[in-house]
Amino acid sequence: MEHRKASDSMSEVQVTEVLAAAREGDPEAWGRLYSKYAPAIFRFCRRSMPTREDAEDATGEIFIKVREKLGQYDATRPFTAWLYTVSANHCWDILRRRRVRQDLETGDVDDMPLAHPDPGQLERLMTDSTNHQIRSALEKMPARARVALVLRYYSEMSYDEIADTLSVRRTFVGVLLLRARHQLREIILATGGKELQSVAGSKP
Amino acid sequence: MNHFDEMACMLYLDGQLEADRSRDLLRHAGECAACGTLLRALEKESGWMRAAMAEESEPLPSRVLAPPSRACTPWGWIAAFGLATVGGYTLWDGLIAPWQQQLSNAGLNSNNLFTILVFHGAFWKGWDSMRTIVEFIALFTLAALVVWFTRRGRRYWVAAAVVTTLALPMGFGAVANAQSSQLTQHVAQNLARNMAHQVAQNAITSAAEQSNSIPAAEVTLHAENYTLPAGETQHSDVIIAGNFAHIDGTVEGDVIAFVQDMDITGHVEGDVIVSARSLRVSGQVDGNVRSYGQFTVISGSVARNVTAGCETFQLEPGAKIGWGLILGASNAVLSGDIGRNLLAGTKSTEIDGTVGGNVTMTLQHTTIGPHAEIRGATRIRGQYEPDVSATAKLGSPIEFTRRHETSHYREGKFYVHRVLHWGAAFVLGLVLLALLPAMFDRITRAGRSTASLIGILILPGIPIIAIIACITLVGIPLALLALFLYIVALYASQIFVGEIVGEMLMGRPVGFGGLLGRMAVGLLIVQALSLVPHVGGWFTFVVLVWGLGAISIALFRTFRHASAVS
Repeated sequence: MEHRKASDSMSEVQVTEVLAAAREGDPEAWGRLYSKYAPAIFRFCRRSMPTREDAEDATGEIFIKVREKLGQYDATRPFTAWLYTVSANHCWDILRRRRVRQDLETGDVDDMPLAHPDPGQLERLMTDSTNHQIRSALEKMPARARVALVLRYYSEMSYDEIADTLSVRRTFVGVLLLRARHQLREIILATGGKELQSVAGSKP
Repeated sequence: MNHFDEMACMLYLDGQLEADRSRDLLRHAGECAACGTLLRALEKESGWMRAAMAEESEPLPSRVLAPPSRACTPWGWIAAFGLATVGGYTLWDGLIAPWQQQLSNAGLNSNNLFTILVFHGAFWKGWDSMRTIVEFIALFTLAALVVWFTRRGRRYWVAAAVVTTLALPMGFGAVANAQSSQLTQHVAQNLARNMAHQVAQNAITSAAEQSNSIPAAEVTLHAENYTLPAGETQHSDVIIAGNFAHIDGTVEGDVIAFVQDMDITGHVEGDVIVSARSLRVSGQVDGNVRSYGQFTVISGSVARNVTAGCETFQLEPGAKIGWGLILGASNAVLSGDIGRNLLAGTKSTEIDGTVGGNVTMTLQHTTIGPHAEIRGATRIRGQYEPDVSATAKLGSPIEFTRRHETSHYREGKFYVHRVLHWGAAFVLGLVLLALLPAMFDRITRAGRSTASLIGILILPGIPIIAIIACITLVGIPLALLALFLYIVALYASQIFVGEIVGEMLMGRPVGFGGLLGRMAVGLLIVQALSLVPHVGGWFTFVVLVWGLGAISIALFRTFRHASAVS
């Protein structure tokens, strides 16, 4: 986990001190911790959950859980990694509970052909798409594919962590991510116009 | 060397490729323009996704600005556990213990294996002690709930709401007399009857307007007055929707009417099926009469059966019903002749005519007049002893069973039934939540918007549409299916409204348990409020409208989303 996103107003040392105080039950320290990480966790939830309201709910619930489990946190591990693991598990738990996976993702992995992309056209797709389009396309993706991309490219989770969170075999994570990328491209094309139709891929 | 595929490139970029393969890939990418371009494009795509996801695209919502102050208390589980315990105790005390007594009376005593095993603690000798413990836990849990609700001053309104909610129906129930309950019931019956009449009239109107496939019937619609004059003969069925209908001539078929007032002074050779405020039959009907309205007066003759559901029913002196009379009315005066049996459920009935068969009645007051003659048996279940004239002729002594009219709020089994109703709704909610969590979520979300008021249109709309759909043969199964789903939705309304009410009182839930708990408490409140005399019926109406509206909106959004995706 090379890089975790969070507000950088506190140094690592300060974070450790604030964490220790929060674990002792200091409400001010907990408030500082929350202020530092809440924006990043909300953004994580916003990308993982289908609606803004869901993301707001999930953010509150995650911090309630974090506060309850703060005593279980192993201080030798990076706090951000632990925080994202709790967040990912919580969001995935909600989505799984709603059976979004069963409702919307039938055949999302098994049936989709893996077309080989044309690098030039992929470049064009990236040039012509805005960040907003990408986020909108993410919202339209099946839950598991969306969460896989968010865990990898927002939370910077390793394949092992993604496998643990999504309860899939580690060797399957690559397949999941690759197909998720293809789905993302297809949704952007479907919603962004027909002129880039051939970008998504052609048989090698 | 072979080209690398997209998967290998992605694994390399994510640091998941073995060292040897990574070296090979890098070397090949340097030599092969296509693979090099693909590798760079995928790397750029990864950065492209990272940038899009990390961008602060929207401000932090106000709800998320401040940290949640505390972990959410598992109100739901506490309430559910308490209620379940009380329910279990009530079931034991109200059902199982009496059964045990009955079984004992029936001879299933300690010598019977079943009795020994189930009721005499052969499985566990400490069962009697357990009963005491269960009672204690029930009371303790209730006390704990009260403490939880009142432990913070700022939550006093929650406690007040729950206590008031629970106390209202019981308090009102204790003081409400039977008369007021009957009044409420009476108003509700009238309302339902008027609605049914309107729906039926609309349906027949629509059916007749849209269908030309009733050549054998004369159809008269929207007529201010319909009259079949004396001396004229209608050689087919007559279907009427209007204000006033008068059959003075002869109808060789059936008469089906949805009108305000109807007089039959002529001759109907078939059946008469009428939904009308008042129906007067002074002529001759060769078939059956089925009447649903406010007043039904028969002074002529009906050759076969009469079935009537009305406020007042009169069988005048000299009138004759060839076969039987089935009657549901508030008041009935039967001075004419009934050829066979009389089956009646009324508030008061006066019999001063002839009944050829048996009389079976459930009612409050019965008067058997001086000219009455009942040739069969007479069984009466009522609140008061029948007032029988000394000159009345009875085939056998009257079998009278006294019915004690007490407020059902004072009966223990009423509360057992309420607990069972609550449990049934809770279990259905549990099943819905487990099987369709996303839909459950959508419905409760929809229920929080004022758009759910659309339920006021859906509530009468679906039955009307279903009736209209019955015009065609294909439409009948669809209509039946729609009606079935409609009834399920009506029943489920209380579950969704209960969940919303629970969340309004206890905040947004965390996890499955939180949802269940809020549903349990909300259901309890909804069901308790529906028992309040006078306003309980209106509250139930609001729940139906609210729930049906929420379900409709959620379904609409789901299908719209599905069609948009497809």
